[in-house]
Amino acid sequence: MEGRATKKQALQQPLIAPDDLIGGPLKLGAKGVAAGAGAVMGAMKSVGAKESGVLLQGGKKGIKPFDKFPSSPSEMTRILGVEPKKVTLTPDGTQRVIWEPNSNTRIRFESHPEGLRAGDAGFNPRHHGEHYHVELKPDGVSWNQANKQGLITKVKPENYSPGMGTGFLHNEKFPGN
Amino acid sequence: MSTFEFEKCRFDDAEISCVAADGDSLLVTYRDWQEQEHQLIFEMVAGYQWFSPEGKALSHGTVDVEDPFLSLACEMADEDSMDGFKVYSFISVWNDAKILRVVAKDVRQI
Repeated sequence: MEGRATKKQALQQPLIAPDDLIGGPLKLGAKGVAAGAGAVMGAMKSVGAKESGVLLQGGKKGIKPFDKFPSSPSEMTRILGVEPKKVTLTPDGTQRVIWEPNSNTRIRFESHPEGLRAGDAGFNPRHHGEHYHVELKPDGVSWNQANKQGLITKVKPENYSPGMGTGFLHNEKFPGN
Repeated sequence: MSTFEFEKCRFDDAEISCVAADGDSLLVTYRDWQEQEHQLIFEMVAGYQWFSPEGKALSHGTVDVEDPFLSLACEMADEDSMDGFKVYSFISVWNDAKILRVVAKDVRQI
């Protein structure tokens, strides 16, 4: 149907950086979920970011590819080039940070330790440890309507299977790369 | 009354999959972070407020007796008294909104 956003379109759209940041958006030749998830990578590439004191340019040249989830929320903020939309605490008292680098992407950093530590029986790093969640939707439709129409992509780790947790870990590659 | 403590229920990374009213009870089905399905049944329900909660990631649940929605629901439902009623809320992880609020006397897991 013409004029109606689809999930496929959401997966293929580039992520748009804020206007006041350098560099234009990188159009990804995305196909399918993995490539759509690559839009996260696109967001990293399409915003200006400082790495080792060097201001990086978006576009095809001069890009330092950020291909992994960073080790801290502050680094994610720096890479995205946008301040968090929300910084709160989880019921566990751990930090929760939410970014919306554009109107069709939202990223959430959090952890739910439930009193467990890495190495404890039952500890799952994708849930109890610090992790990131990524959701994408098509352009031109609200998050609520996208949810009702099944158009939201809740990006999952490679080789995901139910029970393992949907969070991405530090230094884990962005999906689609 | 059940001894189930709604506010201690782990909803992190969970999603409500279905909300179904039946007489004076409300059945809420949700999937936890491991995609295991659970059901909560709210009993002696005076009313509920629904903001398209299905499929949205949750943070946690709260129980409140001060929420003005409690008196509104009891008044609209023509309850004689608010005694024993509580407001049970499911909180969205993305915006901290109470995307489902249930005014009921009890809740238990089934």
